[in-house]
Amino acid sequence: MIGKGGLYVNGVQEKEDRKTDENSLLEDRIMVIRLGKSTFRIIEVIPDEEAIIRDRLGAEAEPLYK
Amino acid sequence: MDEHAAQYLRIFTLLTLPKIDEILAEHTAKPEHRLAQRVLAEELVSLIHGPEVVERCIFQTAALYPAKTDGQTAGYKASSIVKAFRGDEVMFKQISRTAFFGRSISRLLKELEIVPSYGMSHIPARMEMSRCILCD
Repeated sequence: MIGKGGLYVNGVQEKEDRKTDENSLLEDRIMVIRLGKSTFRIIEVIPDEEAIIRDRLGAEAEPLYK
Repeated sequence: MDEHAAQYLRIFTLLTLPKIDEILAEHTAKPEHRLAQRVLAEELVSLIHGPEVVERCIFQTAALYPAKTDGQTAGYKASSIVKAFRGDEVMFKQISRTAFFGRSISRLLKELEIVPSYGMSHIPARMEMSRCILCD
């Protein structure tokens, strides 16, 4: 268990360790994770092609996707 | 902090004294809004990092810690959230679609280094609903 407050995905506390699917994303793009009471993480799901380019170019890829 | 707000506003900001008095009067009338602390934080961040960073911080705070009193819970788009958090290596992670779908959440969090181990993302037994501005 993470912290005292548990794990929240998109505002809902997770009951079990389920697998991610289309419903795991807000607007088919982001997942908001809250760990414990006030620790947040944002996960953005990007197209595979973009992920490859970002992996290859690192920070240099940033201007391409702004 | 409440008792120091007035002093810190005078020391650490370039606001005029009448403006500070105005802020403190409003703060005293509605201390639950924490106006003095907010103004102090905004002014300090603006002086050190610039107004663009202030705007970004305000958005992040409003999105992640919605005020209980304002009743405004909608209006945050994924694109604006991404824009506000992009570049923050701790809070913001990216993953490809292929790597994201069909993966257990605990494994996902571990692989993105959000938690240090699979065990740390064990799901608690008690189920509760939590309000979060980002999911309304």
